[in-house]
Amino acid sequence: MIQVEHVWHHYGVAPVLRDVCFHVPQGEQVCVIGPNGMGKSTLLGVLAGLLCPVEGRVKIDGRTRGASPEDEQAIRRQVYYLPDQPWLPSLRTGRELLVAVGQVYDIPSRRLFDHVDRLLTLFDLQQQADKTTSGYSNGQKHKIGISAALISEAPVLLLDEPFGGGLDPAGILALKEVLKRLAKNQDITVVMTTPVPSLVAEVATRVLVLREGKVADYATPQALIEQAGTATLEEALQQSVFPETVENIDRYFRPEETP
Amino acid sequence: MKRFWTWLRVINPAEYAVGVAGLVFLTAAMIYAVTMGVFWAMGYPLHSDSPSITPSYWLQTSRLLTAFVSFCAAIYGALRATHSHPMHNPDYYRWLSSTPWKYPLPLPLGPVTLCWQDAVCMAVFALLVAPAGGFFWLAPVVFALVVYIIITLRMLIHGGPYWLGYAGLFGLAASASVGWRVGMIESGRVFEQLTSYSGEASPRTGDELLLAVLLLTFVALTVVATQVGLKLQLRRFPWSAKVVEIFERQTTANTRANNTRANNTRTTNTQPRQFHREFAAVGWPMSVLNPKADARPVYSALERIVICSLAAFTVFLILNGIVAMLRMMPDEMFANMERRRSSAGLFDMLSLYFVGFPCIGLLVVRLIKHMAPFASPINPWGRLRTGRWFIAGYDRVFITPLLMLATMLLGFVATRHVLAFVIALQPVSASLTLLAVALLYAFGPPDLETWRLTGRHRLRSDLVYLRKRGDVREHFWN
Repeated sequence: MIQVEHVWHHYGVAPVLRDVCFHVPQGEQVCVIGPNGMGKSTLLGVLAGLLCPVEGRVKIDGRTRGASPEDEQAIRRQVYYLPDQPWLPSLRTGRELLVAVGQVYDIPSRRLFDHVDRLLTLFDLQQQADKTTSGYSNGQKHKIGISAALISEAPVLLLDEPFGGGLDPAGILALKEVLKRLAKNQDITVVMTTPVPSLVAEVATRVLVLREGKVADYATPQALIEQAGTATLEEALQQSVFPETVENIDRYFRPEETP
Repeated sequence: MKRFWTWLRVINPAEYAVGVAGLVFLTAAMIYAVTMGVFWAMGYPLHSDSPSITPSYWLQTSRLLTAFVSFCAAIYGALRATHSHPMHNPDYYRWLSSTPWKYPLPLPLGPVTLCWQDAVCMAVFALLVAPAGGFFWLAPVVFALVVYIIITLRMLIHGGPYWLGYAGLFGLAASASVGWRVGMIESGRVFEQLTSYSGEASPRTGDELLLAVLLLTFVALTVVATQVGLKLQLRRFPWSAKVVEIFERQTTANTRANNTRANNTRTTNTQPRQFHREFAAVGWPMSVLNPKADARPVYSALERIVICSLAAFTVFLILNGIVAMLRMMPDEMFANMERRRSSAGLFDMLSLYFVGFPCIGLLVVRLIKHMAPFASPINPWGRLRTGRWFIAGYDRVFITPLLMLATMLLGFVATRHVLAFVIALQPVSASLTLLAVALLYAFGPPDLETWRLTGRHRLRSDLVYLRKRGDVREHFWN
C-alpha cells in the first residue's frame, strides 16, 4: 500500500531523514516511534505530500507522489493527513467542518450526516458541535481533527501524534478502539507517530523505530519483544528507542557520579 | 401621479435604495444650503459669472453637490445592473427556473436592460446638479452608465455571450481613451487661457468635432453591446451549471463574510448550497492537500488571450493619445526645452507607468502565487552549504519570471532606443511589450495547478499563523 524508497531529507545542513526505506501493507497499523526531533513528523509530512524529499520517493497504491498531476490527485483522494497541530477554520462550527471534509471526500449525504452525529457522540462533542471552533479547548480541537480524519473514510490515514494534543482518557480509549476496528473490519491502513511506548502495544501491528533519521527497527511488536528478549513491548521499546534513559535516571539521583 | 409612480416603480432597485439615496441627497443639500447661507451672511455674492470673484464659492459648493449626486447615481447604476438580474441572486434564479418564464416575457423583479424609466431617473440626477453649470450635469449620468456597463460586461464575460462582453470592454476602453483626449484638449484650452498663450492656432480645433463624434459612437456601441448581450443572455435562460456555479460561489463567499459578524453560536445550515465549492474551508493542511482543491485558471486559454490583448489595446490607446497630443502641441508650449527631448522624457515616464509598473506587478504576483505557499524544500543556507545550488524540480518556478523580466527590458530598450526616432511606433512597441509579458504571465510554465501537484517544494504552514483570525489559507485557495 505504502512504499517508501530511499528517502533523504534535510531542511538546512543537518539531515533529518537518512535513507529511509520501508513498506506498509494494506490494513496495517504502523506506529512510528522515536525520540523528539528524530524526523517522525518530517517522515509523515513526506508521506502526506506536505514536503518533497530531497532524494527518494514515496509510492502509495502503486502511484508515485508528485510524478504527475493525475497520480498526485489519485493519491490525495486516498489519503487523509492529520498534523499534530491542525489549524481549524475559526469561523466554522465543528459540525460544518466535518460535513465539509465529508463532501471533499465525496461521502454520500445521508451516510455523511449520520456519521457526523455518531462521531460527535463518540467524542462527546454534541454540546460544542454547533459552536464555532474558535471557542474550543485544545482537547476539543484535537477531537474534531480526529473526527475529520475519520469522516473522510480515506483508505490511508496518516496521523501525527493522534493521542497527544490534550486528548482526555475517554477520547484516547475511543480512538484506540476505533482504529483497531477500522483496521480489522475495513482494511484501513494507518501510519501514526507517538512518543509514548505504552500506547504502541495496544494499537500497532507494526512498529517503526526512527533514530537519528534512520530506520533502526521495523517489525511486528512480537518480533521486537523476541529480538530484545524482554517481557513486554514497552520494555523492548525502551531498550530500542531510549537505551540511555534508565541509566540517566539513575545518574540523576546520584549527582556525585555525573561527569 | 399614482400611475406615474407605478410606472416608475418597475425599476425601483430595492425598497431601501430610494430612501438611502434620498437621505444622502438631503444631507448633501443641507450642507450645501448651510454653506450658501454662511457665504450670504458674510456678504459674498451667491452667483456671478465674473472671474474676479475668487474663489467662486458658489461653484465649489455646487461641485460638492455634484459629487454627492454622482455617487448616488453610481449606486443607482450598480443596483440597476444587479438587483433584477437572476444571475446575481441565486434564490431568485432557482425560483425563476422553476417557473415557465421565458424571454421575452418581462422579468418579475423588473427589467435588466435600460428603459425609459432610467431616462427619467437620469434626468432627475442631471437636474439636481444643473446649478453647477457647464457640462457638470453629465457627471451623474456618466457615473451611473459606466458602473452599469462595467457590471453588465462582467456578467456577460462570465455568463455569455462572451464575445459581446469582450467587445463591450474594447468599446469601453476606446471610449475612455477618446474621452480622456477630449478632456486633455479642454484642459489645454484652459491652460492657454491662463497663460495668455498667443501663438498660432493649434490644429486641434478641427479634431474636436471628430473626437466628439468618435466618443459618442464608442459609447453608443458599448451601450448597444450590453443591451444586446443581456437580451441574448436572457434568451439562453436557464443557464449552464458552470455559469450558475461561478455566481453562487461569490454569493456564498458574501454569506460567509456576513457570518463573521454573527455571534459565536449560530444554527448550522447544512444545505448543500452553503458548502458548494467551499472545499477550501476545511482547515490546514487539508485546504492544500484537499483532493478537490483546484488551482486551474478561471478563464479559458482564449479568454486569457483576449484579456491580455484588451489590456495591451487599452495601453496602446492611452499612449497613442498622448503621442498624438504631443504632436499637436505647438513648439512654443515646450518653453525652453527641446521638443523631442521633452516629448521623449514624457513618453518614457508614461510608458513606465502604463507598461513598466504593470509588468513588474504581474511578475511579483506570479512569484507570490507560486512561491508564497510553496517554499524550497531546503532553506537557502542549506542549499549553499550542501552544494545543492540548483534544484531543478523547484527552480523551474523561476523560468517564467526571468523570461518576463527579459521581455520587459528588451521591450523598453526597443521602445527607447531603436524606435526613438519613429515616435508613432513607440506606443505599438510599448503595448506589444505589455502583451508579451501578460501572455507569459498567463501561459508561462509551470501553471499553478501543475506546480501545486508536481513541484518539488515544501508547503508552508507559517502563513497560517500570521493572523489568528485571518483564515489566510481559506482565502488564498478560494
